[in-house]
Amino acid sequence: MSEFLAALLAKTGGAVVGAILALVFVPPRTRWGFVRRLTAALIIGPVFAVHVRDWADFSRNLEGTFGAACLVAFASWWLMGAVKRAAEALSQERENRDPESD
Amino acid sequence: MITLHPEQAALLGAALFVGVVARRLPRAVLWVVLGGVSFVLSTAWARYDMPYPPWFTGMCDAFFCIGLHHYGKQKWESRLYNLFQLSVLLSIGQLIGFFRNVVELAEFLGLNEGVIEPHQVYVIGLETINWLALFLILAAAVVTPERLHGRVYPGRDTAPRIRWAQRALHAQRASPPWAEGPE
Repeated sequence: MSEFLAALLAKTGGAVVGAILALVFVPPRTRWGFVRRLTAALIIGPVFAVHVRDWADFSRNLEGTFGAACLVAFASWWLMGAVKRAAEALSQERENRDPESD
Repeated sequence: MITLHPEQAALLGAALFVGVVARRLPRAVLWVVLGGVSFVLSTAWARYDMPYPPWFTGMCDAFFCIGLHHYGKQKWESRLYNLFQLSVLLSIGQLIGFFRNVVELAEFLGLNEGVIEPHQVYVIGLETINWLALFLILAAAVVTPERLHGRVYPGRDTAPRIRWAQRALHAQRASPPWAEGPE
């Protein structure tokens, strides 16, 4: 197996495992929320895996890449929910604001 | 051929007992069977010296949790879900070396002079969770309204306690999973 393919598998596998763990600890409320968070985890996990691995000083092998992808996917899953909640709170605040005071 | 350790045989025997007692509660039987399969698979994975046993155990428990989240309907299933979340956390802790650090800290503080190994802490934690899960399923199976209907316990006013236990275990869970529409 080429080095590139092995790294890609480690990144993707790590992202999938991270998404499974996130589904266990931060279950989404709706199917749409699940799809949105899963998509984010499967993209952000592999993309940032190597950067996070080097930044966090994980071992520079497939094991470290897998762990970093897992961590990033989990974080992105949680972050997607946090961003959504923040956007909802902001729009709610705008709706509640008295139009005459503007 | 793998031989079972006495504590593993005891756990499987207890699972069989709970499965028989809970036979009128189909989802309880389902969780006992799936939990047993998860236990046997993860034990076999570790005993055959396959790579990363805590990872495999964590994944088995994670899929069990996802099943509970998807199909669970009552509060006792929510508590079972919480127990197996803890089990997944233990596996993650073992994978990242948390228990090794704890045992080393205990040794540094003079609290553990080679008495307990990190792997033992992990295994004892997992088995405790499995026993608690079986006890929870047994409790849910025993205090079903059908089973207790019309029973009288003379000399004691047990009805309020039984009603409390039924509410605590058999009430519908707070939030159903996978609602339709945007989050």
